[in-house]
Amino acid sequence: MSAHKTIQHIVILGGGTAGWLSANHLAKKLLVNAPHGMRITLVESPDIPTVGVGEGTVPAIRDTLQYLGITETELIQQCDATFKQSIHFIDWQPALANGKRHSYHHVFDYPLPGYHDYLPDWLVKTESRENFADVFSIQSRLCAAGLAPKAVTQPEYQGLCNYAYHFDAAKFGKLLARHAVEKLGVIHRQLRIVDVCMDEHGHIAHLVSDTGEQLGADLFIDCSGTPSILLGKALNVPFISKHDMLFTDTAIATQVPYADISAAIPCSTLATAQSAGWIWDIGLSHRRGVGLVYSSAHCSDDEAEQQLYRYLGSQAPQAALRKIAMRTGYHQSFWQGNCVAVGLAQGFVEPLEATGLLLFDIAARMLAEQFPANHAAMQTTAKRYNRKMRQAWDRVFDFIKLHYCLSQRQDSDFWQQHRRRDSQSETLSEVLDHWRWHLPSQYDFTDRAAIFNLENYLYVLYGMQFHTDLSAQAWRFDPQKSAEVSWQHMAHRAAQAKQQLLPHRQLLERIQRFGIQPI
Amino acid sequence: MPVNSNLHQTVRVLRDPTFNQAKDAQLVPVVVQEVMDCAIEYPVVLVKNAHSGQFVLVAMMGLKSGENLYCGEVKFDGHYVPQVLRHYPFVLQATPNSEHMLLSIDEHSPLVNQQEGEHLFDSAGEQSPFLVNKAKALQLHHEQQQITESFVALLLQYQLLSQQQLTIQLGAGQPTILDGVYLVDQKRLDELSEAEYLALRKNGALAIIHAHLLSLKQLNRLARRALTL
Repeated sequence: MSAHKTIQHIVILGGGTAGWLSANHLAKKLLVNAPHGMRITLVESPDIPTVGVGEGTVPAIRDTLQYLGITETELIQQCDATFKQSIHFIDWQPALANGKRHSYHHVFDYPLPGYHDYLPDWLVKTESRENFADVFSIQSRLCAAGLAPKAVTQPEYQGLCNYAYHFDAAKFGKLLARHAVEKLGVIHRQLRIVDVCMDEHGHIAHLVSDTGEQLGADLFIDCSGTPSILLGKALNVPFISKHDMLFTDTAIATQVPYADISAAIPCSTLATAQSAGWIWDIGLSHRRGVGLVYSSAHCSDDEAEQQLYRYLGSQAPQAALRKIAMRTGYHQSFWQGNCVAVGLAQGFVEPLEATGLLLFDIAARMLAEQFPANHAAMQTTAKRYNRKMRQAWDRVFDFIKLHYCLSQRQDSDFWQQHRRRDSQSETLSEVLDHWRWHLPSQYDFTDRAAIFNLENYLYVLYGMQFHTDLSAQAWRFDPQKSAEVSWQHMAHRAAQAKQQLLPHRQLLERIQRFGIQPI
Repeated sequence: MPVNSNLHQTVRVLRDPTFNQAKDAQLVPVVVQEVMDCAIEYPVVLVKNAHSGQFVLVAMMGLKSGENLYCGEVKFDGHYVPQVLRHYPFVLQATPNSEHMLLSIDEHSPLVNQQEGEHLFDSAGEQSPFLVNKAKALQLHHEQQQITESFVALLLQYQLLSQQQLTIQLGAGQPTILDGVYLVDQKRLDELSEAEYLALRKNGALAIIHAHLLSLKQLNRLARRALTL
């Protein structure tokens, strides 16, 4: 093949969220509908079910949907979507001295500008340091009051607070599929792929279906999920396990109906720590999605089921428990030759901070935006892509690990082992050492690929009552800038915001009925 | 309450030339068919309904919430009275699980009584000509409301609307600022392609848009009224 030959046809293997998200990003950027646009075919097997969990997102999803041309009204009306303003972590530390359960919010709003002037006082003075999010944002109060993040008159994708969504992953996949096919010109094929043929350069030549059809392309996108049919199997790219850092390897998931149809819907993902993992609890408009992520080395399947049922209490699930094996880690490279993996075919990390979809999105968008000009450019593009994507994954692993290693829970080996330094990455150990005596700052987050930045770390670090000892430097800080002043200010602003906001379920019902205006 | 010959056999409805029910209404919803008539007296703008978040075309009759500068003690001091005011105390009500709209009456209205005004039904229980006319007028109004919704959808489709702040100078004091008002952006209108412009002209939207833009000059009239009343 000529090196300067342009890339004209892309085949995406797999019709799950990652496949359709890739299809949308590529078709949008590479103008499939234009006269000289790329040709994109998504091929999926009619009999492979999609994984269908991963119902939480982070605020970046709003930017993606808007960019792709999907309206917020479609998302809310077609995917049982609800708003998500925070992750509410419960029991990630032992119960407090007064017997209360420990809990904190990782909210999506950035702290108020200038917050770092008030932070030292909070660190030096506040004895219990329980309420970081309350002192530096209004959003934890709004979550506690059960309010939606946007007013009914606010346009699509805008809110009083920063927010993301919970949604039905299967319905979201269908919405993405319709959009890709009907609006963006992606070709959808249903074929059982039974073989992968390689060319003499070790590139993929074509896929072969059970009917003998050969499907060739210039570039293949592997969205086949955990089996990683192209990258992992056909190209033999090794898998790097991160099990020594993150111990959970199994999930059990189910669906739970609401006690009554007018029950309040939490505007947060609830993440409740257990003896060897944690339980997610996500409120959609018509049901809850609940599941336990655990380490099978520290907890038997029976014990895990008991923990989940105990959590659910009298709320009987409406679906049988589904057990999912998880393999934490990633492939050594994500782009090899003319094959790029996106989604679970790249790797997996437990859904603690809703990073699954986020990583799919970053991987797909980066691919579309950094798309190689021709075959000759592919190798360099791949090298850069692999480096950036690996960094993104590593930073995600660190951020997830942070939640565990800050915990002082003593109730199992699981938590004890998480605190061991040899289970942490060098990068994470280093910043934690630094933050013992210094405030986290922008200098600690210079990496452009980082998905979780200073603000996210602050909510988790100080939500988990991490101690940064500033006592020796107290004289450097302005005594006027007290945590009390910031707290009062946030309480006042929250009271103002509350007057404009509806209860979460009520706003969703209005949107179901009236939609959201584009401006 | 849906109008019903059993329940409302003896009910009578007064005509009220003051349209007193609107005395606190700064904004009165109108349909596109009324924009020309309104535009020579009132600013006609779009606002968002606080309940649904949807756009509503309104005639502005006051400069602040709760103020209507046209509803007087003895008469309504404007030439054109929007339909919603004239139809009161009747409305068409959607019925659950059906396409049909029901003619309904606000029984708590001071205009509804047993002594004076128009009968709804004759002694045989047949609808009075007054009621028949009301029903017809409301049905027509309902159709016009749907056309108005399509008009708004068209404005949004062509991205012609923008939120603007209206500043009104009342005498020498601080200017009054009106928020949450949406207007057609003249610049965007000028930037439309020939085809888009032609489409707007053909379906009649262009005339409405121009009337709306012209009507904004009536803010001065409102300000003058506010100062003299």
